[in-house]
Amino acid sequence: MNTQAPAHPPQPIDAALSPLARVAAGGMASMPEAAPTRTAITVRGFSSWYGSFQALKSISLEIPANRVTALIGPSGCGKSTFLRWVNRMNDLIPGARAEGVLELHGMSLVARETDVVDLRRRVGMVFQKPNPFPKSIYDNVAFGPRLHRKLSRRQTDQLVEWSLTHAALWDEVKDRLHQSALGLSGGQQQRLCIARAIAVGPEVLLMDEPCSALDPQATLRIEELIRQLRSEYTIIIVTHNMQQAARISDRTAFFYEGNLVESGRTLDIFTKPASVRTEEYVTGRFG
Amino acid sequence: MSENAAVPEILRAGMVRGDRRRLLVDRAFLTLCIVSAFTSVVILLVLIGTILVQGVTYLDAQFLTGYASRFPEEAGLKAALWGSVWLCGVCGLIALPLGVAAAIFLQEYSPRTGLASRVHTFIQLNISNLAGVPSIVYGVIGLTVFVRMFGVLGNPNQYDALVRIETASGSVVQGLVAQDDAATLVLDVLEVQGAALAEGADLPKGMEISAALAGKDAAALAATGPGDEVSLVLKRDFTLPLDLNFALEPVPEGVEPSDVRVRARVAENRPGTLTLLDPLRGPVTVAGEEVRSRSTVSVRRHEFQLKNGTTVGGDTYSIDAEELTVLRREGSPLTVPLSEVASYRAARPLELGSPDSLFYLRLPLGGSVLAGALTLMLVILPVIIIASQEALRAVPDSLRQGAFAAGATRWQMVSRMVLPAAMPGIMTGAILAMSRAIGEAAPLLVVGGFLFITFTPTNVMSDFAAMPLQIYQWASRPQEEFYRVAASGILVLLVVLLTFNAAAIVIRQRFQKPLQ
Amino acid sequence: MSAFPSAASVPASSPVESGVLRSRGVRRTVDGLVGVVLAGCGIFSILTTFAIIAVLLEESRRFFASPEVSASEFFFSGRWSPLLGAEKHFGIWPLICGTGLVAGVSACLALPLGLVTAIYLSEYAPRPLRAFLKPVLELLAGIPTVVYGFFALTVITPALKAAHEITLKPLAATLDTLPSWLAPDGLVAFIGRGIDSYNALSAGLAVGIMTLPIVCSLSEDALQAVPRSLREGAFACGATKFDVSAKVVVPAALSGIIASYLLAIARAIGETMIVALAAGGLAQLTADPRNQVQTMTGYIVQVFTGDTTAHGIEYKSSYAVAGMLFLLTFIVTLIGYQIMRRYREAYE
Repeated sequence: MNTQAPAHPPQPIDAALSPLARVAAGGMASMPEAAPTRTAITVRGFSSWYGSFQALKSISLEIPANRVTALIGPSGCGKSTFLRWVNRMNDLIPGARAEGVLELHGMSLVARETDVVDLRRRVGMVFQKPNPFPKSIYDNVAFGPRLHRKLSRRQTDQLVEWSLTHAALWDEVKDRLHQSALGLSGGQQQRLCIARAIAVGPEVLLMDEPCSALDPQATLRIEELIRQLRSEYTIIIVTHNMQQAARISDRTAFFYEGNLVESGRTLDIFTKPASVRTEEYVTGRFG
Repeated sequence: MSENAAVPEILRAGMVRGDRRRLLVDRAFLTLCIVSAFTSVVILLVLIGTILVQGVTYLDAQFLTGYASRFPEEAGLKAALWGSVWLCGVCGLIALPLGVAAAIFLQEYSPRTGLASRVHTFIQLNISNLAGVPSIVYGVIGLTVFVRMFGVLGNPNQYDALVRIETASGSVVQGLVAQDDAATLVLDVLEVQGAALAEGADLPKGMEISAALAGKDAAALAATGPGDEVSLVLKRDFTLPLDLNFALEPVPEGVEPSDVRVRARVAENRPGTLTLLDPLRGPVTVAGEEVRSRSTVSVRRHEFQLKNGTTVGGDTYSIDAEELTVLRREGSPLTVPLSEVASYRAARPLELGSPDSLFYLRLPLGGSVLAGALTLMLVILPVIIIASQEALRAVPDSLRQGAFAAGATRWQMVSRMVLPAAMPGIMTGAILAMSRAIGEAAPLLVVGGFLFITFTPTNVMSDFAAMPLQIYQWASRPQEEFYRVAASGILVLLVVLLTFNAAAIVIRQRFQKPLQ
Repeated sequence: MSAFPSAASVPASSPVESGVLRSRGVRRTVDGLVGVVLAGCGIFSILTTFAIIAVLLEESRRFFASPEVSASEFFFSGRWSPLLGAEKHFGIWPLICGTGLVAGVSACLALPLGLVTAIYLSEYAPRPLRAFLKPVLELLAGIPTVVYGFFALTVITPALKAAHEITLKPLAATLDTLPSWLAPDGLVAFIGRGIDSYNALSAGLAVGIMTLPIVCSLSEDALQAVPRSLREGAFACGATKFDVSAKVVVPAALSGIIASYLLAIARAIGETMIVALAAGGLAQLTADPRNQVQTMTGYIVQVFTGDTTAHGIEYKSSYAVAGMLFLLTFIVTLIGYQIMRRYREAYE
């Protein structure tokens, strides 16, 4: 676990704490306390601009490996911007630039010479809306691996099965692997996208509000899946759903207007936030 | 390359594709992209460059004010320029209201009920298909429907002059002549009076008439035999094109133009054609293709009065030594012995007004400005409809709802809210459609043919030249010198088109912003 | 005055009641009349279609009713010589062959070039370059076809002849020095054959240049219609830009691209002025684009600009050819639009 715990005196849980926070606290009680782990991503004094607009203002953060880190905050606070820097999706946006340190296991992610293609293989991403390619389920999963490797038919078969099994989708689709992925339900499509992302063997999985377009049932399945994947991947998830952050994340970072207001263990953020803003946000008073 | 240790063996299967190779492919493809994207730039530059180089030679004031000529240095674009202006003007006047109205119907008046909505959908689908019909097919349709009007009102032909032929025996043949080459006139007879047919006295005996010539020409032989000399009296109401003016131009002093006599002889080798003997001043020298400057006259129907009082009529006829055969569009041919024929008359086309006035109408339309403009209308109508529909679609629905909420009827809503808002888009589309019409050559080629024209149109019934047609005619000449003339014509055409496009861009930029 | 006066209490001078009231009946009548007139204008397009079909069918019927022609000759014979010679032949295949050859050459140029340009414009080009290239393509699209015909005649054909002089001709000369069992004389003669002054290659290239903007703009529309999320998903898998374009965006936009191809081919089939100027006038069955050919459109031009009478068999034959041309382009266009509608529905 990150040793840099937020330095603030422990506060008694306010009796008036919102039911949400209590749910969060209760939910976390059932989560096993993970063993300390090394830092995967290091952020120091990191700032980012779109043209002249500053989206991130000198943030510093450590994201532990094999943990789920939730990024929360109101819309436009910079959390998605941060996420898109981790696998350099911001390269696709003209006028986006960044300063400061953003490292994955000591390798700079924002340096000019960073091999973006290699980086994205190590850092997979799942998007807000499920975006399966208009191809078969099989070809969707095999898309990434085929880019990077020459695979035999048998190897591909195995790989597709492995990825779909890991994404908890195999049993539902094993009989129609060669049908169009667009025929799947929204929740299935999102799990397919997760399968597609893990098929290239990333270390980090970025999830940009992966459940916001799904119904509660599908959301639950995805959350379950995230909990399962947690032991193998470093997961960073952006979410607007406070309960979700509380349910699935080990650590939480709260962004506000481009600043990182506070980060720490999820339990701490939800039960004894250091900042008034954080408390107001997690208790639903704004945002 | 670093591999995630936590990843199971299966994800590490297969041979890794080298990143360098992938990046190389990426680079190579980008280069290919840039090369092909700039190919179009290079093509445009080469095209404009070569045309500029070739075209500047003859591009001067004379080129814009002169008429077509068979000498490259004298050739001008005036008739074609004005022809294009007339064509596009008339075409726009008809096509724009029609097209915009159809677009409004399709976009704003879509019915929801069964049959009407199905018709509506069909029209919509049909319009995209009409846009894909080759323009030359429209030309063929225009020729049939507008120029010839299915042949119901007679077949229009182009002639040089209306003549009277008086024979020694006192018969009079009236007809239309077209000059076939430098010294040959082809005569289409309109009327025969007097002894000729009635008595058969002057009919040449045993004369051979080849099948190809056994048509209307043969009637002239009813009046004269091969080698006979005849005098042609040119009637005043028929103006000859100046370049071909073998009779009017050299009018001697004191002679009334209405009575100019030209002596001609029925050719011995080609019975049925007249050879000019004495065009008052020297032989007529006209190059073959320049003969095409003619005026259109339709012969609606050929009628023969028989001696027993009945009338035989048809679309065309032939006469051989003994018999007259009348061919009809429907029904079998009729054959009558020539001795039974009393007189002949050609029914003229329907006419309204005088050919010299601005308001002159004649049916069928023939190869006139009106026929050309209507044909162009067919070509650009789908273009206008599609562009106008897009402009109407861009008008936000809130405007419509606002107008309805204020109690407007549908037409009030359309005419006061939607149309003004969509006008810039409609006008842009209209201008682009008109520039398509200006550059279109194929349908006009079918409708009017390329004519050697040395006048500008006076009304919608005038024959026309058009810029693209003139360019085609120059470019298809064997003499390479005319390529330069064609290039000059292209430069003028491109300048006109660029002006149109610039106007469209200005309108788009000036008016369309507030809407979005 | 009360805040909400009843109608009766509005004084005659109230601005709300000023002016002459438009009669409701008149307004409704005008509205109905206008609707009828507009519907008439809409129906005019159907009339046009029926006129096209009726005229072509009726005149073709007359053509086939003529004693000189038989339908089996028209559809199955390989000789087309209606204007010259004592015996006339009406087998449509040489004209279809000429049309196909010109359209084929144009497709070889316009389809790949147009697609790659569209990919560049949609996926790669920086904004200022796009702002430069789009008007260039619009200009190319706006140039009248007679100008392209002139370009083919005075630039492309001489360039092809020059290229022939320095490539195929020396190659044939070299082959000629080899023993004849290695390089048969027939082959050598074929390779060394010159390019006709009028030829299908030159006309086809010009038609290709003309259809290039069509392929390009329609394909680009199809590529742009592919949602951005698909591109992001592919990039997130570690795809290069080439991978994204070639393996995700192009396959996703395939129906739109095929539609653009079909519409461009329909335009190439119906193109008249370029072939009239540059392709020649000899109808023959040939697959060698160096030959001169006559297309269906070229024949129609030849008939209507020549001195044929309205009752002659050649004149009627042009209607049958126009009918074939209409049918061919209509089918290709129809399929194209159907495919295009499908891809629009897929993303809307």
